[in-house]
Amino acid sequence: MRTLDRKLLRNLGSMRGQLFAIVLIIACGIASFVTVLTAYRGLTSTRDAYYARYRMADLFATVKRAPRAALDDLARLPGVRRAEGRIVFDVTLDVPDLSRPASGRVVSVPDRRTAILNDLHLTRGRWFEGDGTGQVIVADRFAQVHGLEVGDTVSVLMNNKKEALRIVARALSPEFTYLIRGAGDVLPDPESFTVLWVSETFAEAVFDFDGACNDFVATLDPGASLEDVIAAFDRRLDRHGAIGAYGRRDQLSNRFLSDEIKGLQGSATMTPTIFLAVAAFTLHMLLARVVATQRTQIALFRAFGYTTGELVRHYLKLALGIGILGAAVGSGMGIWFGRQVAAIYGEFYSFPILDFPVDPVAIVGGTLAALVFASLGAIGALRAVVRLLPAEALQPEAPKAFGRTFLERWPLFARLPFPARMILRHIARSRVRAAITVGGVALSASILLLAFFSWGATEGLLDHQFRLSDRQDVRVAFHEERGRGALYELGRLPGVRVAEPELAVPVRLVHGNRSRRTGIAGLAPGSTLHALLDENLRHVQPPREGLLLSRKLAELLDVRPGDDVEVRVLNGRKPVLEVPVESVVDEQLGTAAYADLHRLSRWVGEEYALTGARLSVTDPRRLGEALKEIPSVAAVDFKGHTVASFRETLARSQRIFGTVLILFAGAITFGVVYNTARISLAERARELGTLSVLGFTDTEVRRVLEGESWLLAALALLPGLGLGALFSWLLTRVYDTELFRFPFVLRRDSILQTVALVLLFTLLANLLVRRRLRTLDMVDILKARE
Amino acid sequence: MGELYRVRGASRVYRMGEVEVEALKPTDLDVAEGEALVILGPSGSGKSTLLHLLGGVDRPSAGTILFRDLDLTGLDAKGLTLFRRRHVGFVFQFYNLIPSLTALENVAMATEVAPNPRDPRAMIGMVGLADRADHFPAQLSGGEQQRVAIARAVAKAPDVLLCDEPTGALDYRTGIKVLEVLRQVNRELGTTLLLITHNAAIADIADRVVRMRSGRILETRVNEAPKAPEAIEW
Repeated sequence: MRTLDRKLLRNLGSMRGQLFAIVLIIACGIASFVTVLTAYRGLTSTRDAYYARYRMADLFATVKRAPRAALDDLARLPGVRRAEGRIVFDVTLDVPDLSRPASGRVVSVPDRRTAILNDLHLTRGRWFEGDGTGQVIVADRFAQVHGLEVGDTVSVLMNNKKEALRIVARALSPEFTYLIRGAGDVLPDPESFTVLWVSETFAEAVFDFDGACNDFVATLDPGASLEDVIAAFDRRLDRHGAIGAYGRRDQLSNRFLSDEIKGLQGSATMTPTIFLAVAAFTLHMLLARVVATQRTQIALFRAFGYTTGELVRHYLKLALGIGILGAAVGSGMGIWFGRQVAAIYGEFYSFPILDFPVDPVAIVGGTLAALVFASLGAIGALRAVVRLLPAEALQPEAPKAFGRTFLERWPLFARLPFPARMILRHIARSRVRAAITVGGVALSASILLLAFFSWGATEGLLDHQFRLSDRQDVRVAFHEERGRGALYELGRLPGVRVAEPELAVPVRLVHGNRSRRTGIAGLAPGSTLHALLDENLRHVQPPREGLLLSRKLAELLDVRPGDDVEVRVLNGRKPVLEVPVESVVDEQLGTAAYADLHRLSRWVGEEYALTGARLSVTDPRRLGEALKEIPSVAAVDFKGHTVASFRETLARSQRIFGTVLILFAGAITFGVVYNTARISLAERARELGTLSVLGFTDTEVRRVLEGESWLLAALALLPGLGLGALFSWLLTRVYDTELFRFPFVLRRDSILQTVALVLLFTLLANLLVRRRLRTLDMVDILKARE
Repeated sequence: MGELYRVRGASRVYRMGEVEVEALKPTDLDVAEGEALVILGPSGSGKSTLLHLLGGVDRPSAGTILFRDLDLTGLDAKGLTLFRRRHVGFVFQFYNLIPSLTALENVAMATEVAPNPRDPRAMIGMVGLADRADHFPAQLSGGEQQRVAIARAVAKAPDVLLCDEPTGALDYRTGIKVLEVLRQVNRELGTTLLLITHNAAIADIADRVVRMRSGRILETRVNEAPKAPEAIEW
């Protein structure tokens, strides 16, 4: 077979442009496969190792105040392996480079370093000295953003006292891998939020929590039932003001991380399959052409005594060679891109080490997939080889049979100019190839539209949530329920124009056998800073007797307006009430429920209560400085900053992913259009040469060839956009989570950009073919016979 | 009759890999308006090269070719394209019809780029294929395809018809028929006919015969009494 192998190499050489295009498409598929699988496996194993090594808790429970002795009780519960108590408080910090208070969550840890649950990974500095009084360990990311080093001090407003705390270390914790403050936040904002780990002794002293704690974490024995332990915890902690224990699954940081991993799992197969299918079809197209032009050679080899099997192996080798090459290039791209993805994840998730090493499973899997799809692409050609009869094949190929097509029945057809008629008949004659081209370009258009959609979707989310729905400039949360006076106090702060109260009450909503832990927000009648909108962006009446539910929450509970839900209030006297659902509102973040403020106040046993406020302000800077001095404030959220930080955080990852998607889509359009045009050129060289000899100008000749590409690309646009819209819609379904969701809005810009890029890639492919066209030798064509 | 072509010292050297081949040695030739000229020679005699030079498909390595007052050697690619478009009708050995166009469309296509074309349907009628006008090339016999090719070449009302072995791929009887059509075009429409062939019998239909061998013209002789195509045999 050595001669055949030499021929194989020469064949590959003469088709290198087309092969390159196919290799590129395969490479994109394998690259996406390797990247996503590497990221999936890398992120999963990093998380698991991190959680195991630093003893991430299985169960979390918050109470108002419990004696430390309660811990012994909890630790003895069946199924509990280990339980720990700690003091957790939300505070505000005064960071010099910030003109507003930053939010902090104080978490107590033992004075001396021991192996605790949710243990800390110190990136700099050392554990507390002595009993840790006046010392703090801060979240590494926060310190990094503000340029805080070990030895610096931060000013923290704790329990009505401003304390200057000396930073002894910077740290990470598995509990805060995704460093966000609470539900309703979507992206980490290390500029505004940090965890502050302080020693137990110090925390007890500052918060007057001598011998007490207000937060429990526990790990379970293998095989223990989480539900049983949660129930037991709730029973034991009820008298200490428990608002309900929850498992790791509902822990916020872990929730985000797990959702991301789940998303990766889904996309590990879909994108590569699209690419590999296009590659297989393109390869099919190319090999069919190769076998057609080499039929005399094949017959000759058969006549010389080569067996069918040997020839089949020969062409299969060609296909597999392309597959291997694509897999090699794709794996390389995938490894490189995996590193970039790891870097992006590193910005969102804080791990001690996040590196996606070269993953043999992903590479072997990718290579196998490439070989399978390359073989699929070769099947058509191999069948042709097997069916070829030597005697017949030694005759020249029959002339291209054009007959009447369905086109002739179209009355306008005869009026079309000749190039158009030639193009249409040519397409009608090679329908499979035309279909492959249209399919490939359509897929590429759909990928582009998806990319532009996901960019637009973020803007849509921002617009819906932060412009239409949240009308305030600043949101303030208090440590605890306050009375009317707190609102007046806020209203008198500098720069405040309007202050509207908010009351947040933790509840469990139950409907039938479904239930959800969430919060009810109380809205004052006539409030203007929080617009409730339905899916058509119309204002929804504020609640009177009953509840308004966000669409997602209504779905989760399977309730419709008019239904009653059971409200189990989790704090205060913990009443249980039956409340009707008045209507459903459309929100992009969280799963909120709303009630009238006065009514909700009474549910928690007050006449009028608020836990926070929305403010409309004229001078955010002055207000920010003033808020730094108010001890009752637990958290402050400046909307302008939130939106900017949101954009900034997403910009880099979107840029990278967007660029890659555009390159991938470009590879498909380019690869498919180039291959089709090259095959078309090879088939029609004589025809085009004849036109040239007959006195048609280069432009006129080119029009006949390129017209086909343009027409096919144009035909692909509509189905491509439709498919892209479908993918985009599916994306909104996939990301319709309890934490956030995207509105399905296709912008005209996205569609125009998609169309423009498809046409640009088509033009690039045509320009390359044009170079080939110029080298056509008219004299050769006059002499040559098909 | 005026002169259509005046060729002076035209030669053509091809570079085939590392060797240079002088396909046409320096040659002089005059072609009169309206005459029927046959260039006769075996393969490799340089007759095709000469035809390509006259048709503006190729350029001489040295020498000049005047078409009326137009110096073909001074034209760039675009100029040559325009020259072919306005003045030359080609008939090829293998017809070179556009497979995706019907017989009539093949003819009509050529008229689209010509300044004063003839009626395509009349041309199809002239070559005796009025009833097959809507057939595609693959549905026509070789002789029919060649007649369509002639109709296509003539339809643009060229000044000269250049035919490269037009009967080379046809059987005797069909070949005669094609020659009749060519002679008819030359006689009735006054189109200058330049036909190259290796078939000596065909030379009898010409007004003048140029014999070539090894890249040069051996002799030029005038046929006092050209024969009608049906009278020749090979």
